[in-house]
Amino acid sequence: MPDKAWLEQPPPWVVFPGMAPLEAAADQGAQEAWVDQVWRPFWASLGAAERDAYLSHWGASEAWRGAIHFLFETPEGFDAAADAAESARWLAGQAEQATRSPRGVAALLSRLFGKRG
Amino acid sequence: MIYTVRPGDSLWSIASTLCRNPYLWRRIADDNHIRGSTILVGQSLVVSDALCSRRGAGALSGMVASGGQSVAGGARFAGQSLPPDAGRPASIPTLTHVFVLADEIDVFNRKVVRRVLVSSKMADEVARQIGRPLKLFPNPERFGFQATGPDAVLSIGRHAMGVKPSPFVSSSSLPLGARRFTGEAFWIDVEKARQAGASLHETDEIVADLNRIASKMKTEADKQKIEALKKLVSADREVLIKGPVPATAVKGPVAMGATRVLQGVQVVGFTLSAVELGSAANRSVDEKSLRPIGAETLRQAGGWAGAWAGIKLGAAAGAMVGIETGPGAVVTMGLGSIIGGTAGYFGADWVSDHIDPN
Repeated sequence: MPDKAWLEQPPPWVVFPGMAPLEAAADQGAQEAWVDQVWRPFWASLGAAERDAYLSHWGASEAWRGAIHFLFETPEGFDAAADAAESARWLAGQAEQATRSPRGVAALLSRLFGKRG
Repeated sequence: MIYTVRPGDSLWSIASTLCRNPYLWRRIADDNHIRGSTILVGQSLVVSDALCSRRGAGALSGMVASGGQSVAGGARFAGQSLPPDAGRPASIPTLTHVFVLADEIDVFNRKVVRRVLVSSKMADEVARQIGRPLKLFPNPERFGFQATGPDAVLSIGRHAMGVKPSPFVSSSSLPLGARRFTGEAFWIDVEKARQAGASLHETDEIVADLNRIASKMKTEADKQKIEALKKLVSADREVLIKGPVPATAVKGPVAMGATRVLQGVQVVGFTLSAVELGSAANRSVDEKSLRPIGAETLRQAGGWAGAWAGIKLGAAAGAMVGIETGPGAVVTMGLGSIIGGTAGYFGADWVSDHIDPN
């Protein structure tokens, strides 16, 4: 069926049999090359109904269905720039907190003899 | 003038003695059409009078007057007056390259590892597995690493969630990289990448940002997915690099293997030096004098310090100092307080000989 040729594209769990669902967020090796060159453009080219049909056709598990939607579909209203700015503030706060917290022996002493409650 | 090479000579030592400037060794090599730094015992070298001042003339017994011969004459053997070991390398030229290579990826510099698909053989296997060919990654040793979206604005947590294009390049601080990825490992010298303008985000930072993202998730199922991603990031000891990673900061498995071996050579050299120091210490005990151990300490520490300085020049000339003295980062640090750690090899040797000739 030429109009359903997209069904022939093997999914990640067939191409990489040992891959866990969240490992599809691959950022190194052949896995990254395949995701970037093949899978991501393929998934973006499908409509919502085709995506459901595709996952049913290949018998996707619930874990794989969830992971593919989670990793390869942008949430509605997502603003990457605002998210990056929030991340920078968050990480700066975390770093400041880390410098204030006692470390090593000081942390151990603080835990053993510090005030409780 | 014509100089006949003797055992133990190097272009560096000849230039140093004849011209009072060891860095002219390359000019002597060029004038005699010598590629690299290999010279043979008995070989005649034409040394231009213009190149070397006459102040250094006569310093070596192998030198004879040239009678104004052209420097274009090239290297040749001196006929019947050859020493018995004529034709053998005068020094160990292969070591010239040892310290240059070893310096390219400093043993003390931190490395992170990135795995990519570069070899066509591996790519063929992957193509059979996935049923279609994949484009090979450009060799990082020639082209370095670039992000999929250098100008993209993205948080590190979103990169870990697989969002592309991304301004980050993933790597691992595990010694051999994240083994779950199929591909060749490439070692990135962090210091060199930083010097090129790159910045690093450590595993803890990525996990912290994933915590931020998890706090915004509405369903328990999505929070669990973030937890799974955090485990992968931690298991991989993932490190993200933002900014360009130049080819000079990257070494593949072959170059990295060679560097490891050569670092072993350095350790052997260090051990030998320690033995020599031990011998000098015994002489000090026998002679009831501090002079032998003092002299040897000065010789070793000064020599190794000079070697390190030479290596840091990054040129073959500097590396040749390393041949005669050994790389001295560790020793210089250890013994530097004794003698100041800054003397060059020749100066230190001369001074130490005046303390206790051996």
